[in-house]
Amino acid sequence: MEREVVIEVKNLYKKFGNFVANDNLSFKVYKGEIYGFLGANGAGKTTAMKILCGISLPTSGEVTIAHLDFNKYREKIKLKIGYMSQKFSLYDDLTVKENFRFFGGIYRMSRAQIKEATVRLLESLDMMSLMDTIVGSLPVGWKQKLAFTIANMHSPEIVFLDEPTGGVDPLTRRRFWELIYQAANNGVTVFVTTHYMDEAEYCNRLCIMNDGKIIVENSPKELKTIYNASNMDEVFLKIVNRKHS
Amino acid sequence: MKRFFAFVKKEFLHIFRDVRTLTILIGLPVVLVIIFGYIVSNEIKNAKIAFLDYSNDNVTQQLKNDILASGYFIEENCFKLANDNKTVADKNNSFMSNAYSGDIDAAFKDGKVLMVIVFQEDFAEKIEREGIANMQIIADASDPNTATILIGYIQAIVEDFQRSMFFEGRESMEIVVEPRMMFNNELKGAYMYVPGTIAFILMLICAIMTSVSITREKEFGSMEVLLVTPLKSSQLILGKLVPYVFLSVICSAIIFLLGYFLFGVPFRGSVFDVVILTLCFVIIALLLGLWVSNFTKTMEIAMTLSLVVLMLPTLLLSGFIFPLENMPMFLQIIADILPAKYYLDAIKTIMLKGGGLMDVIKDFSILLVMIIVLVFVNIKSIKDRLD
Repeated sequence: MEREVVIEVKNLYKKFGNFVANDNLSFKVYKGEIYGFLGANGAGKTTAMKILCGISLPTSGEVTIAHLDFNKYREKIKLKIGYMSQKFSLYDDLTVKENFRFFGGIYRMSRAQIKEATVRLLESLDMMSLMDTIVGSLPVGWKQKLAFTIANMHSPEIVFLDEPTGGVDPLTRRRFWELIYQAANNGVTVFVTTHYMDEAEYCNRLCIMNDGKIIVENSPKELKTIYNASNMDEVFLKIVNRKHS
Repeated sequence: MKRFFAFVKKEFLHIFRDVRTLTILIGLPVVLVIIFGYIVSNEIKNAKIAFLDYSNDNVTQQLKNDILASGYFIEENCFKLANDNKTVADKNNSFMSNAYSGDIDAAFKDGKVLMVIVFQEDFAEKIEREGIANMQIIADASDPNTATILIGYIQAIVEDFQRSMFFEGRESMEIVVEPRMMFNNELKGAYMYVPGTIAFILMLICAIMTSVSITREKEFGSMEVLLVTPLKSSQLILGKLVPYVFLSVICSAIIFLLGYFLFGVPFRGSVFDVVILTLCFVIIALLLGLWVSNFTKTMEIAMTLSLVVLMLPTLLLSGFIFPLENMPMFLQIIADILPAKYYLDAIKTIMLKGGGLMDVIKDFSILLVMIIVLVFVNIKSIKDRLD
């Protein structure tokens, strides 16, 4: 069965002066897939994600997102994507409800829609009692869950997660990934950048980057077989070391 | 529009949630106006004055009484005028005989007095016969502001005195026209400080708060999230500005009302003109804040930069605390490019002199030109950032 392509990137370059942050990237992401960008800091994964999200412009290359040409329909694409980063999850000085209301309002949801979504989503997270709590007082893991939920509130086709689980323990990370799987099961495509190897294992397909180039792209299982490794940690080290030697 | 409103609402929530900052923003103008109005007032009361009266007749006595009755001066007895010294002064018909100049110097040096008034020999007689008599005002100009103000007081008192003599039916006299401190005869401090404080507070709210609130989004990483959403950057920027325009209006109103009711600052011109000019100044300050936020990444840098580049010059170089005329050339040039100077000038003309927009057309057009320039500067620097 031919799977539906939701992100297609062809020959993407991003240069900052002489520095090439993204060197000829080409890849496809299918609907409902959890696609991971794995790489060391400075490998160029965040730069690539910023281009896909429309925050930054590519130097050259073709990008199609949700069947829409990146250059022509940037505003339309924005309605179809959600974004969450490690650096910022939610507004700390607003309550949970106010955060929902703000992001709902930005996506032109009606008052009733926002209300319905807030209740439904908080119930699914088992966080109804936190409705009027100031976000700043919540633990990081909870904030990240809320942020992911809010990034999904306007039912986007693709959600971009930029190192979403920074600074939390593996157990909390696992809980967070349960949410990601749930979303993927509902047909949402998840594009995630990470440098945690346990997170890499959770992805359907992985793209390992180094020095702005895609080194290899495959499923975690295949990668482990190819590189004859027991876990992703080994795979990653083998790839990076081979590159440097 | 829905997006825009959602964003503005969020901005208001940020402001109202931060009670401390809000208290400062509302409380500071009140405190400043009261401090400036009462304490740092330019009005000088009970300045020490000494009289060197070579004539000591009924006219000089009356003048002295008038001066002391004004409330601005209290007499300090520094000079003992022995009768036999009279002849010394008489000889060359100058009021500053050598014998006394030493005493005057000493009085100033000791800091006993701020001003000495010398009456000529036979003061009353000379007025009676020749219509001209001389009195000399010697002021301690180590503080030129105070000296100028005190001289102004004396001139006003003497002028009043002359007029009263004239009405008493005496011969026409030499009336020496002296400059007066127009529209604020007593140089009441609050008069200057009301528009001055407004300029200062508006800079604080519009420039600093705006630049800090925009850089905050950058520093916390929320700017990226916002840029991914369908919110347009124009909506984002306007949404940031709207709440601060609102706050500025409230603060300006508080300052005007405090000035009017507490200090009796006259409001002779039209409210509409003042509103128009204040809005111009608000827009300029907002654009300045926006401009600062364009090239700063953290709140601290934005804050420091706005303080040094925008607030301090507004406070020091707008002419509301220190007169611009006494400043060295290069500071005057800096003052010339500050919007506060023109705003203050225009507001004073309208509030105190009852002028209209046409009377301040020069200031008004300079402010408008500043707005246009700043809009272009901002558009350019935002574009540069996007590329």
